[in-house]
Amino acid sequence: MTAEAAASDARRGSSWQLGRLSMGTLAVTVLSGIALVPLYSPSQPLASLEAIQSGIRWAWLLRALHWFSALGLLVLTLAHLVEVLLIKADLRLSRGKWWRALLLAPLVVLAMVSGFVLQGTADATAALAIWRAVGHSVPVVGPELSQLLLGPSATDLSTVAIHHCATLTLVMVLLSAEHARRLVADARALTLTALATLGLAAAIAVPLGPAEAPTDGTFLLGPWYLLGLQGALRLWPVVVGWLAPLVVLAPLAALPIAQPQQRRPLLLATLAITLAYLGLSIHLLWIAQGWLG
Amino acid sequence: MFRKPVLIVALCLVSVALVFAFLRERRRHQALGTGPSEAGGKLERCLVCHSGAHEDPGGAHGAVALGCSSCHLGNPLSFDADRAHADMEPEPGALDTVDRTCGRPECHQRESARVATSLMATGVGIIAVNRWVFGEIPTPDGTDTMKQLLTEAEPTPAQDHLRKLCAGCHLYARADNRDDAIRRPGTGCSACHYEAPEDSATGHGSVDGQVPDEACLGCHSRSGRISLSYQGLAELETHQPKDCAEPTELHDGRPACRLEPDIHHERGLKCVDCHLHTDLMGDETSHAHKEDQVEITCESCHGPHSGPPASWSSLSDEITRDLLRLRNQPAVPRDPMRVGRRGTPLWNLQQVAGEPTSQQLVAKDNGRSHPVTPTPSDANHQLEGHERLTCTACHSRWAPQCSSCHTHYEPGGQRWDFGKGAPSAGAWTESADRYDWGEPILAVRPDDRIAPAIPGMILTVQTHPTSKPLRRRLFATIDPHTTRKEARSCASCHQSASALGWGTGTLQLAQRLDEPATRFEPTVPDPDQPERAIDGWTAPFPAQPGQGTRQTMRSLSAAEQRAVLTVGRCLPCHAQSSDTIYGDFTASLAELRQGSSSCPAGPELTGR
Repeated sequence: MTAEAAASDARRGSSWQLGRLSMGTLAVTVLSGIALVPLYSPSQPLASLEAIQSGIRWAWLLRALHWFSALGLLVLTLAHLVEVLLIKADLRLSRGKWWRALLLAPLVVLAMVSGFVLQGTADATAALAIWRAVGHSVPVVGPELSQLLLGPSATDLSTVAIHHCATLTLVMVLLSAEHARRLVADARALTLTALATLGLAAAIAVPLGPAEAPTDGTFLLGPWYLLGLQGALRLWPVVVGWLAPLVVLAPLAALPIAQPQQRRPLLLATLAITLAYLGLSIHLLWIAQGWLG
Repeated sequence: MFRKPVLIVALCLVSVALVFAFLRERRRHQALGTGPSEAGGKLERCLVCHSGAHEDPGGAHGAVALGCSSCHLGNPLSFDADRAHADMEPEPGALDTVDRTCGRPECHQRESARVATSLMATGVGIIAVNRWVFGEIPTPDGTDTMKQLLTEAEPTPAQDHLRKLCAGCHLYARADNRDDAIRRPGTGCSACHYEAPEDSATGHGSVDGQVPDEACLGCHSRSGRISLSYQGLAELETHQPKDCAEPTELHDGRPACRLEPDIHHERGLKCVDCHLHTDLMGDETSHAHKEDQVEITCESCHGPHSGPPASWSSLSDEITRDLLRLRNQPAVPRDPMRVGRRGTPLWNLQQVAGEPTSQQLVAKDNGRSHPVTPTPSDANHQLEGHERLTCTACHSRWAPQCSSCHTHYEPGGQRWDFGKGAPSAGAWTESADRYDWGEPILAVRPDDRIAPAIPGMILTVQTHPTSKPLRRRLFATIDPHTTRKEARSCASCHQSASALGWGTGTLQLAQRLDEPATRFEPTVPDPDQPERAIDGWTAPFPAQPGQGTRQTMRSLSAAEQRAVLTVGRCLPCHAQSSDTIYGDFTASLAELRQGSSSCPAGPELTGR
């Protein structure tokens, strides 16, 4: 690293580094995703995944790269957001830029959820049904929104695949490019994130959900980053599916228009709502699983 | 974070990780077979590894058409063994998963629904009779199924008795939890329709509509032992001297004697050649007892046929239509169509071409034709007093009889519990001095017809420390499956104490009608009732006949016994059924009593 770059980093704070790494993971995610596209068929999702996982040379490594880089993107984006708020870096952004940058967080979550759904496993199929119900629960435009985002068929995932590969990716790339003022991650960030995800992908087997739903009355869980959302979504689709996320984002969105003395209460409110949301999700998961007896 | 040392360390770690990745990729590649990944026009990646000829059941269920997952479930999309084998059904046809295997809508849904109601699956008859015998329910008719019996959390004594002695034989029983006598692999549908290969460890057997007798043998070599008797095999108790002309061994090692087989077996007929699909696979009705489910009768083939003859052109039964098609038979065979008791056609009983009065039975496995002899209209078959006799009452030559068989309970013991699939407290033990065989006893069935019978449930059991011990001596009617063309002799019924259910002893039969009553000396008297034999079903001329395993099944009543023995007194002089006195036996007796005819006194008869 040059002295000039180091000085620049120091000026911008560590959030710059987390932001750079986020950009790096986004690049790795997009590149590995592009490599996976020819191997995936939305009309035979599980068959594609099974072939990628164990039938095609090195395809499992590609999937693992995509999986770990996406996970890294989520973690780093959220960490970057927290850090930005803590060091008040958001104050340097205009109102519009802040809102668009903030939009990246739900977009990453949506991209990951759609990626999960695209697996076509039994838990992914259950998740798709739940998200369809969530979509339908949106007032006025629910059914249309659900069809627009998830498509008309439960067996053909073409619509979800298009949104995952094109819509969400494009929007995320554009928004992050505007936010970072560059289209592609810098070489060092890209190298580091690529090496890290490659190491993880090579060393750790990425899970694939069950092909068949259990017949013992239990239901399938999503991955950890959904934090039991499938259980919660199944019971309270409206609250957990879109109302609560909106409430979490609302105080953050209000930051640029709030008075300086309102900043702390808004952040505390966001934290409280987030914790309550997570707690509720986990509690509902326990209820849905029957763990509370 | 972006300094050179960090990158170097990262590079080193990644290098190590990549070594693991190479090893993993090599393992993955080596594990993959080279077989096809499709079957029947759909993805079936099981075949990538399982494409050996020895793994192919062939025929209609061949791997090329159905792959593996149609029957074995699992995940046919995966190349990975662990994922592919997840939730796999190792025993396709098992009734608890049959809806997803044999009984899936595009395959044999109709048949599997029927099988689930058949007695071989539900066992409702045996369960109800057992509970009735134990005094737990008021009648021997019930609706409890084997599935309920096996999952009962706190079984009653009768349920415990069944779970430890009898519940290893039913179509739900899986390989690891069933009776030792069942040696063939397969459960549910496969119990009958799967034929294991020679090397069953690695190979796949055939799956088809053929049902060899061995499939029946496992379960039906127990209890009434009809599968053994049909082949002319009588089981011996292990410690019993093998005092028979031809000692042998059963399929599972039990000692046995070779006796005269059933004539149908001798002629090459298999169990399924006579038994209809409704007899074996049910008809979607939960019948209370075996005799209710089985449609086939001797008369179905041999006559005399009652009711108007049915015509193949009026056939509406879809299953029979399918059977004719699958067996390459004409869609409309030559009339008349013969049917079972509930109207199910005997598709393999057909009229001989050019011979309107002759019929033949087509063997289901090899298509060989067997001529069917109609029941003759001769004196033997038109004797007064024989109207209520079933064919088997005379034509069953022998039946297994275990008059010393006894069941007792040891609370401190342990025995395998088929409900738990593990041993549990309390042991039911069956014991016998010896297994015998002989001409069967005569009994009256609930439909008032006279049929062969053998000892059914003979037990003394105290179900509770304070309760009075239950002592049961119940006999059961049976078709022993030892049919011969030659009927048993007249004397074997009319001069026999054992045929009347009196047990072993000496019968002294006064020949003249005006002489005092018959005398019977039991060989081993019953300690509680010395006038009757310990192995008997009933006392001579009882006020109440002996009880059977159905509510209205009984031994011959006193009047019926007297009638039988009355003929016995005439036999020394009038041995032939064509004798004129039997033309109108009632009139002959009346004449004798009025003195208008005479009967010289002969020696006193002694029978057994």
